[in-house]
Amino acid sequence: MAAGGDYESTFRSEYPRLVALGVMMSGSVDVGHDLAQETMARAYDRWDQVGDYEHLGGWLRRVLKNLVIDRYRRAKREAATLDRLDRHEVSEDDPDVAQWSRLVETLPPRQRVVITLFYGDDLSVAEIASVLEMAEGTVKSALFKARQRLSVDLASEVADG
Amino acid sequence: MDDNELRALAHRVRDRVEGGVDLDTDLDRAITGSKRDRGRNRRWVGIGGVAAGLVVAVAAVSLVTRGGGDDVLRSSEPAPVEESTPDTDMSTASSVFDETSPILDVPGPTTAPVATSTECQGVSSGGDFDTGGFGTILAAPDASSLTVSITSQARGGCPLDEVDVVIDVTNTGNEVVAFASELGVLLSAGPTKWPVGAPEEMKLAPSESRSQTVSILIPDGVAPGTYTLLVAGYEASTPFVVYESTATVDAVDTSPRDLFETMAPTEGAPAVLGEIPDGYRPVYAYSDVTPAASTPPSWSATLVQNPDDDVPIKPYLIVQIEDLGDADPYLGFPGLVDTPEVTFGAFTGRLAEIAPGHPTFVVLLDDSRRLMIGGRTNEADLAALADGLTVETASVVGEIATVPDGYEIVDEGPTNGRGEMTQWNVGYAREQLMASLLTVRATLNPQTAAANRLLGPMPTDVVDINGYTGYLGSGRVVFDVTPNYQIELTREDDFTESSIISDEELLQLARTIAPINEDELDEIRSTAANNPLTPTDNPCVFYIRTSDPVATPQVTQRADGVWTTTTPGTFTMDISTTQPMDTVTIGITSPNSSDIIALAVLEDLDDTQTVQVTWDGIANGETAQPGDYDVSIKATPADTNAQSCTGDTATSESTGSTSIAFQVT
Repeated sequence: MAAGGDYESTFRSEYPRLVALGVMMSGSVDVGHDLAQETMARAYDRWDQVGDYEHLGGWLRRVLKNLVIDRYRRAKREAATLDRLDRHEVSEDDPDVAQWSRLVETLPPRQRVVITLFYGDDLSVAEIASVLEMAEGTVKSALFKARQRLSVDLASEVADG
Repeated sequence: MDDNELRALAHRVRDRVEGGVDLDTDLDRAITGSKRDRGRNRRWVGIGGVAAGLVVAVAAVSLVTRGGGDDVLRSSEPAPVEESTPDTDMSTASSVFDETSPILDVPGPTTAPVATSTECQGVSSGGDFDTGGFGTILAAPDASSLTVSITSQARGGCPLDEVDVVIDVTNTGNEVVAFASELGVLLSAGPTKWPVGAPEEMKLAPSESRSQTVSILIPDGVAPGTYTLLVAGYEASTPFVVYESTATVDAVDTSPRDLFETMAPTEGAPAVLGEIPDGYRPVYAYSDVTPAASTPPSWSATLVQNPDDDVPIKPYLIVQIEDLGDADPYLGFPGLVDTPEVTFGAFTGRLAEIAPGHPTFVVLLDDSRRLMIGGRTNEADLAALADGLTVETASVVGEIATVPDGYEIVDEGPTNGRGEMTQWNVGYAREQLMASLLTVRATLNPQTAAANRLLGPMPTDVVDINGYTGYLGSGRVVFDVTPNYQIELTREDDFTESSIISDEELLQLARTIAPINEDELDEIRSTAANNPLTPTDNPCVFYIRTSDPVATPQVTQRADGVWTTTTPGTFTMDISTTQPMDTVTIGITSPNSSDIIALAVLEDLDDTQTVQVTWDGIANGETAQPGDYDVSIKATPADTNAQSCTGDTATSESTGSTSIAFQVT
């Protein structure tokens, strides 16, 4: 995760990963792009404050996570959007993207976020806990549960992450 | 699919998406989007907000009122719902703050979409926190030989800004003194907020002067407003407060719905309010402080099965480790010592059934420590949890290495040693219907985590409150914003009927919660005093009023204005009504339940009558538990014709009421 610098260089280094994480968290290519855009727009708006953050990458991921959960909540209230979110509308010529979307659509938003950061961003449990400002035990629990829903072999210890 | 396959799939998806990003186009879009969206979602909503169907009872909302310019929107005025551009507000803020000194202005919008660096830079105009603006609120001990002053070159900042403050300390005595300072922000009449980390200790020789620079990080999400700086010094091990600014919070952005989705209520904005149902009005508002509990050491963890599912409460487990000292090791489990022992994991103990389907595994770890694992569960899950549990030697701390299938830890940590608890309460009701009463309560340093408040044999649902895990049951919904900040919404029952507020309405309100500050709480208090709830349980604006209480033993007044006397005791008071009543029942309510004990009945009440109410502190044949028991009144109107409720007589007097309570010690 990058530290601060000028906005454009940060954008170029962080944005592609944010898009990927947004897609993986939301299960939608379009929504993932929107979320990453919004995240970077917010960073731009307050660049004087966040630009020098030592852990700017963590801040960006936290904003992204909040946007995902916000969007999920709104989606639950708005049937049309719900359809958009919950019916993996991946463009989704890509079979891997489609498969991932089908998997995560069964998960509640916080589990989507955690499992995406763990598998897609290769963050450790401790790093996820730091990024999301959650207790490590909570992250472990979310991972356990997500993996259980996804029928992932639990023999691989989360704590090793 | 195993773990490696899932990781490989994730990497393929990640790489493919990253590879398809058009960086140049999206960079332009991000920058353009940020400008386009600036100011979105920013609304000012004032008391008696005019949004159709909604009354959002909050107070001063225009940023910055210090200095009292005519253009400042006062909290007592209805505030229009309008779009407001941050730039306009910022310029007002700057000009006002230039004339004041010992304040920390947080001018920036509270959420990222509306905060811009330009706006914030414009306000950080410099200036000193000179000590002339500070007053000593609690003198250092007589033995203190220190003098302390505080200066800073900044007086304002945006959320996430750091403001440096220099603390100069001089030892004027003849001995070496250890001193550590901690700088925070004080809200008026509230506890310290925004602690800036562990204090750094310095030792000063006689006549030595030292400086310490402390940075305040203005928290992300803090509301715009004016905050008071507080410096607390710790000389040796004796804490004492040195200086407090005289400034207080002036204003806060209270845009309720949009804000909460991106800005949780924080300890910087203690009280909370939501979208109150149409027709409701504030009927009380107060804050109170409960001293720190001196409970023995304990630790607990709460696990809920599938907490993210929006379905009724499922199995849960609570693990508790406590040090009972010399108390009965089977305290609370009579007869358990005579039951057979069972072994789960590394623990051997006994099984109790506190309610059908609620087993508890009780283990005596040694002479004083006890482990309990229980909940709405079964023995298999108890055993599974015990299997993954370790307990630290000679302490009450546990570690859950693995959780039973399907469970998730929702709360974990020490349950004792919590500090002073502060609560902000706002009550709402419709007409004079006790059954319509809604209470919104924010608690700083709650004694019990939300997860443990409502889990028990009674039905409880786990619900989502805008991303927070809430617990709904027994007429209330509770959720933790942070481990030290809890919000609770409660509906009340009246004498004989259930609340007219549904669970769904309670949840809807909870999902619209937004923070308010002490000033706004004061405004609500004033509004409530003008039209209090003196329940007649009729849909009328008339009321029964109690006044002029005297008592034996002598009455005292609590901080929230309620008059109390101890039991056994007798209240003598006047009860007046704005229209004839057929029957008036006077009783008490328990602090922990809605049970009513009738103490006196008036066959009729035409206007005003002096009554005596005596209570010996006995409830249901037993001495009542210690606590305050509010006196409640239920009345039946003589004329039940709905028209009788709406005459001039009924509405001409609408101020003042006296609340009283018996105190069982």
